[in-house]
Amino acid sequence: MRAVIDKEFVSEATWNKIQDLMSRYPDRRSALLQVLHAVQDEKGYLDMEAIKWIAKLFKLPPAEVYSVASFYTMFNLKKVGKYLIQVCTNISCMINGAEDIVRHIEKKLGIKVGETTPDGKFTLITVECLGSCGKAPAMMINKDYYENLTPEKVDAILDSLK
Amino acid sequence: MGMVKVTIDGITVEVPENATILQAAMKAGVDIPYFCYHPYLKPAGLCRMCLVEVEGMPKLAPACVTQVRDGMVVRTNTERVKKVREGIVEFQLLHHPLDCPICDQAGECYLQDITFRYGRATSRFVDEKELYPTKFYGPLIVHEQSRCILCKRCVRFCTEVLNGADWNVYWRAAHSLIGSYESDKVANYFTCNLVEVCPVGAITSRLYRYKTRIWKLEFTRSVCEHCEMGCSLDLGVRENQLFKIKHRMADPSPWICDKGYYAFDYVNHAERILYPLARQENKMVSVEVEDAVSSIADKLKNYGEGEVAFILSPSLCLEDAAAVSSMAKAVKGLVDYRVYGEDYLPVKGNVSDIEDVESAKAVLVVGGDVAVSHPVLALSILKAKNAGAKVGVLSAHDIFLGERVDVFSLLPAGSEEPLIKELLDGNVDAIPDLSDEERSCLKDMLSGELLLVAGVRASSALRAAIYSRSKEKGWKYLFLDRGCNAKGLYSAGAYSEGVGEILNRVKEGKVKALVVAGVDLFNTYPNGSLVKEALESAEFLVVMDLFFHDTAMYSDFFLPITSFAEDGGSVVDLFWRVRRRNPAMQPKGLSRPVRDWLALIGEAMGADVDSQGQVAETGWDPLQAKAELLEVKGNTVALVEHAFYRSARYASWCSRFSEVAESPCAYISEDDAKALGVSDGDKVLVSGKGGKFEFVAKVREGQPKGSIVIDAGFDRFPVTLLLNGSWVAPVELRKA
Ligand code: SF4
Ligand code: SF4
Ligand code: SF4
Ligand code: FES
Ligand code: FES
Repeated sequence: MRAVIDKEFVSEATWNKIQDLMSRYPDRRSALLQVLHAVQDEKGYLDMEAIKWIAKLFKLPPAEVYSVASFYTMFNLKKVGKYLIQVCTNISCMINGAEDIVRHIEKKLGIKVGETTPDGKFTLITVECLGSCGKAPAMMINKDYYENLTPEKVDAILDSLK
Repeated sequence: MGMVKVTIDGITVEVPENATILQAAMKAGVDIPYFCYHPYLKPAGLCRMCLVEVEGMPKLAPACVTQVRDGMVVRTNTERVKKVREGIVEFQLLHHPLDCPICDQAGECYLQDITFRYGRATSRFVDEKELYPTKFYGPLIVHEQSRCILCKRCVRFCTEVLNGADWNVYWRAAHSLIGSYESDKVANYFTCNLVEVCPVGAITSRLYRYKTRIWKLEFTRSVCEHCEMGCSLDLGVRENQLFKIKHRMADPSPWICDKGYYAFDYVNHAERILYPLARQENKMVSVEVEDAVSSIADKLKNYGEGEVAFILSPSLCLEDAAAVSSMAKAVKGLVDYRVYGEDYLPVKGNVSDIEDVESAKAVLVVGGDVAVSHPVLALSILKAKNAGAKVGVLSAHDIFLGERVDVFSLLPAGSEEPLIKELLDGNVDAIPDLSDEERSCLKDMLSGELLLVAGVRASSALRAAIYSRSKEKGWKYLFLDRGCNAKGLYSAGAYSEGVGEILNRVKEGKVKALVVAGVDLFNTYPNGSLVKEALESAEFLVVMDLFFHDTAMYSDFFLPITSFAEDGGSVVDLFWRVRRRNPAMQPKGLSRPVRDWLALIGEAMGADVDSQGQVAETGWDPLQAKAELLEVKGNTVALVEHAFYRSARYASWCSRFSEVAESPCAYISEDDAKALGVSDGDKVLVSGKGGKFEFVAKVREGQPKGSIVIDAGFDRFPVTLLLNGSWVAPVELRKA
């Protein structure tokens, strides 16, 4: 059966990138993680529709794609804001005041951990060690690192994001 | 393969060099506890229950994934191993609810047994346990995440054997959850294997939930009656009720299907008729066995040659079939078992067992949905694929296998057979809707070593074409029949001109008395109006069965027969092997096997009824086929097929099993859906020859325009009225 894949689901650039990724491996399943990233980079998150679309592309059951996507915390399986704030609350950061940082952001944005601001701009979550213990407390916003945080520094960072 | 010597706890055994320590231990008779190891799944090394000490290795080694070496010395009886086993069990029980008193797995639970043998009596963990809610996945299975030990046997079954299904593990480590992603219902025809592979009470059968305790059941080995695979089943009975079915012997396959596992509760159904009934005016009243027998004998005696006919289910056992044949001979009557209107008889294929299928180089399935008609065969075909075979499915209807193989096309219902004939004649381009990749794969398949599987729908003419082409090309071929014992009924000579011919003769008054055994013709014969007319015209009708179904409504006498669980008959399987059943329980009420009723009636008539059945030496020669290939024209052509969950014997009385298919569906093409303005889940009306029926539309990718597939087998839903002797007919399709 000729499988009909809706190319329009992603932009042309992403589609081309996916084609390239999938052609790199003898077993195309090997490209799954990278394709998940490519789609998330464009959409910001991987919802059921995206999972099913990728599953069809790879001729895999959606359950298997979801299994892979949910294994890694880097994939957002629900809609997130334009900026995903990930504050580390693991030991080094906690000792250095990560909990205050979290409380500060909650108050500033008026949301709780796990929530998104009503304008869809920010989502706040906490994560385990970001590998930046030497400069704790640390957080990541989308793909950028911010370290040695203080409430003032956080204000400046968040205010600078449009 | 080279053999090596391994010593385990002082016992030296010789095993193949690629064996694991666990396998060597099994040979040595040393018990190594395990959870995730499964003899028919790939080793995974997930649970660490099997850790053992290996001389020369600093750390303990997981026995299930560690390959043996020559001269290896393994110890399982050391203090170190003892301690680690206790530790693993302690961790497994960290959040385990230990609700064994109400757990359906208790008594056959690996965790329970291993804790008993190798665990500590106490735990150092005192924290509150983290528990999860119970999750029901449709009417058949229930998952208790809290009891799950994350061995992934269920997931591995789905990936390795089903080549992917809607069942997996999500999240990670301690947060892992097992289940379905897309729906809250799991319906893949093989869910029973999840129950069977789960070593604990995490996945259990809803049919058995809180019913009884396993140690109260007595198990008897029997053979499934739902298809020709003849899967070995163990029937668990308590107080003459059938409670549970298990598949303990990997014969013919380590796996079974949901029909064999779940479609059994009809045996205990309260509506079963357990006493002979006779018509008095417009009522059926219960009568004594002797009276029923003598009245039937008196009646049958008076008919002349060709005036009595017997129609049998293709799932009656060999002995019953032999008895009916010999009775038919005695009264010079007709007999036939092809209640689905088949115009063919069983052909002996040149495939002698399931391993031949699994080792095929290429397999092409045509003319039927094997996953419905012979479910486990579909798994063997997938096994062949996973071993490198190319597999193709070209059929007007397919739910399971097609989307898992290399070449798949859904053919138009009306021209399925001519298209396949063209393909056999070498015209690969005749097959619609193939990608270039598929087309070249199909070409390769046809030019090499091939196994052709002819599904149950394939007519005699198509069978003849397959047969002659295969002979010419040196291919292997396998012909599937409906029912679980068509080969047995053929062997017993229980056939004549076909069931259609008998019904016509009854209608014309040439055949006056009819005996129908083990089948409701309204559900099986593809011409509901002919069945009705014939039954109305019959002068004398005897029905032998378990339930008072639509055919029985017309009967003058109803004789209760035993179910497969109460009878020790034999059946002839797909590979022409005789498979014997053992009676697992006492016959209910006054029910008895068909052959016993016939013996009584024969005795009263002074006729000898012989129930000795022999397997036929040769099969039918399909080159005798006189008919034409099946071709049906029309704007919309419908193929009528029994939905999987309605295709088991007595499915209407298998409450939970039949519930999985909630309402009859119509598979329609995207084009037709657009033209009618219907989308998935909308209601559509299909009208034709004998009526109008409402279906739930399933818009299916790849479904050809103008061709639909509609479900049969639902209660009070006589879609066979749309048909005229074959399962394909022109219809009209509308939005409801
Ligand atoms: S799964 Fe086993 S150990 Fe757990 S409650 Fe059930 S019987 Fe007991
Ligand atoms: S559900 Fe059963 S088979 Fe599946 S991972 Fe859990 S314990 Fe293992
Ligand atoms: S229906 Fe067929 S495949 Fe399924 S268990 Fe019964 S014999 Fe086996
Ligand atoms: S603990 Fe926060 S970065 Fe390592
Ligand atoms: S049985 Fe060896 S790790 Fe599970």
